[in-house]
Amino acid sequence: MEHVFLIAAGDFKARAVRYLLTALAIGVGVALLVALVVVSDATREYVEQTLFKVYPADIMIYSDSINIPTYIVDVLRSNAAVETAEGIVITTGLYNGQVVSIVGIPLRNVDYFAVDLKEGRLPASGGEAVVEESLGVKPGDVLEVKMYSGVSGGEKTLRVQVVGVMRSFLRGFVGAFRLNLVVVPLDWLQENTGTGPFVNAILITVRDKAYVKPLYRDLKETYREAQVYTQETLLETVTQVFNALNTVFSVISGAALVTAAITTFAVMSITARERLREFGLLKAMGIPSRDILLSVAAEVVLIATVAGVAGIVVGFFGANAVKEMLIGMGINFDVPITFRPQYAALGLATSLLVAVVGTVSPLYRVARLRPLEIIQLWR
Amino acid sequence: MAVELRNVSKIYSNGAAKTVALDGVSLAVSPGEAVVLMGPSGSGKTTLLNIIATLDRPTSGEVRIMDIDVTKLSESQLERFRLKNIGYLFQSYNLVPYLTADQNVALPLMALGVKKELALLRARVLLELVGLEKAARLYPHQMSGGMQQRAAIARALATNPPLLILDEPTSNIDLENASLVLGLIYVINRLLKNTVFIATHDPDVARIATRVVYMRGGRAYETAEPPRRDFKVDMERAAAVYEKLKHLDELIGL
Repeated sequence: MEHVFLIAAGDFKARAVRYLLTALAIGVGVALLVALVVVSDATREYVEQTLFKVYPADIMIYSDSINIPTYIVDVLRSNAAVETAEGIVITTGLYNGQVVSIVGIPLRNVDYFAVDLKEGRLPASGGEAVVEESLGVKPGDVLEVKMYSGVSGGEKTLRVQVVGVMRSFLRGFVGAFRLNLVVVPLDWLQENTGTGPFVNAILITVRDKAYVKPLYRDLKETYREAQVYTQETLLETVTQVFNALNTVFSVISGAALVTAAITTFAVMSITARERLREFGLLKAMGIPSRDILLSVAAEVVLIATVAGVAGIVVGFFGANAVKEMLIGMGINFDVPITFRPQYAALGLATSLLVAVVGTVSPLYRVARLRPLEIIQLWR
Repeated sequence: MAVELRNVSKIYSNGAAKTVALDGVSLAVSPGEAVVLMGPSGSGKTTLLNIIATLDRPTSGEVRIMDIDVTKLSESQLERFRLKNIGYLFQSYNLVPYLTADQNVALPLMALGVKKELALLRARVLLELVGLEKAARLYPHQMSGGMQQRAAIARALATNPPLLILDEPTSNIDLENASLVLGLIYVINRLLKNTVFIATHDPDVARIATRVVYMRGGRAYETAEPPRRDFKVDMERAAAVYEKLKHLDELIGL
């Protein structure tokens, strides 16, 4: 095999600049792919973690209208599998042209938001609210939130006194996920919106995680008009969103990789033409075609490895650099970017695939020619 | 017999048009002979050379080299056969451009499975045989045409092949170098006892031949009288290098 490496190393040395530029073209595509996957994974992980924090229940029953009688909560509490059940109201309103999510929760549960409290305190009585920092208000401010007519039975304005400000859920890195939460005591909200003893969501925790699936099935069967979610089903929705995002990312990085493959193909077609005499000579000497192909393969692996490693390093550190740059620009993008072995595998496999697609076809065509065909071609 | 051709024909077809390149050529060559093929362009010299070198297959007839019917071998078997048995020299472009002279010479040996160090050692002795001991580390572009051709002869001898085939070996080099190359082929044929085939237009090449075959219209004609070999070379120096080569070959097992 020493002669295979002698040929491969000799040719690589002779065309080093060309091959390194080819590796660069592949490396750029790989770097883009790795960076997008790294960011996508980090974002998904961050959203998942935050989702579990925002949504601490094992099961949630949700209705678009505030039409679930509160006694249902008591019925659920009496279920042997249920640890806790809390009825809440989740509705929307408008503040300064921004859509806000108004959450009415029992006062005894309000300290759930304590972890994210940035300044001020939590609501202690009706009319007080803790709000998300994304709204740009401070403790002491008074908020006038216009309610949607469908919920309150006409245009209604809620006046709340801001007593506390909490950090944004999901850290506000994706505008679409910004909740603009306004958390108020449940009974005060029911009273001021005229919904009476009705809620539109019930948060349930179970005594044992094994109860989640059977209870979920029972609730879906019993409350056919309401939507029933578990953390798993919510994550499925998140996963669907991320799958869609990943498709977009794949198209972007795919375009870069296809360009890299075309560039490689063009460069290697020229190289193959240049090496025609050399292949003819080697074959006339009796060097087996298999060994000639192996020497080409060795070069392809070398190009792919250089491109892959460079792409992985640039992609990973590039993703970190972009994150830092966004944070520096005041955009809250503090997602946890960590290196995983699968990024290396993805980068190297992609690099090898692109190099093989772009390289093997032109060189294989020449390497398969019989020596006399090559000799006649060069005459 | 080193080479035996029986009624060999080669016809090239291009649609309905057919060109007869070789027309029933028969030839029997014993080991150690130096056969010079002469004739005008298109007479079939190179076609015959390519068929003997196993680079081309005849349309009909039998080609036996070292008593093996090479027309029955597969492409991969032919590659192996060429590597062990045939040293081929083209008119030009005989060296891999990105390898040094000694690497070029060592390459076929390494392909045969000889370790790199031993292959390079033999390569340097062969380069000494062709008078290029000081050019071992030079790349082809650093050598003159004559030096390249001599290095290519060393490369063709790398695996100690019983058959050496040279296509117009002196056509692309100056007179002085042509004389050097011819002297070298003569010495090699005398010392190493390889069977040599040379296709040429140059009547001077006949001075190193044991047989001269004239080609015309794809047919081979032989002179009744053997040519006079009158080439003057320094056999003593060559013999000293050859002794080194023999010792090395015992070590390598060639």
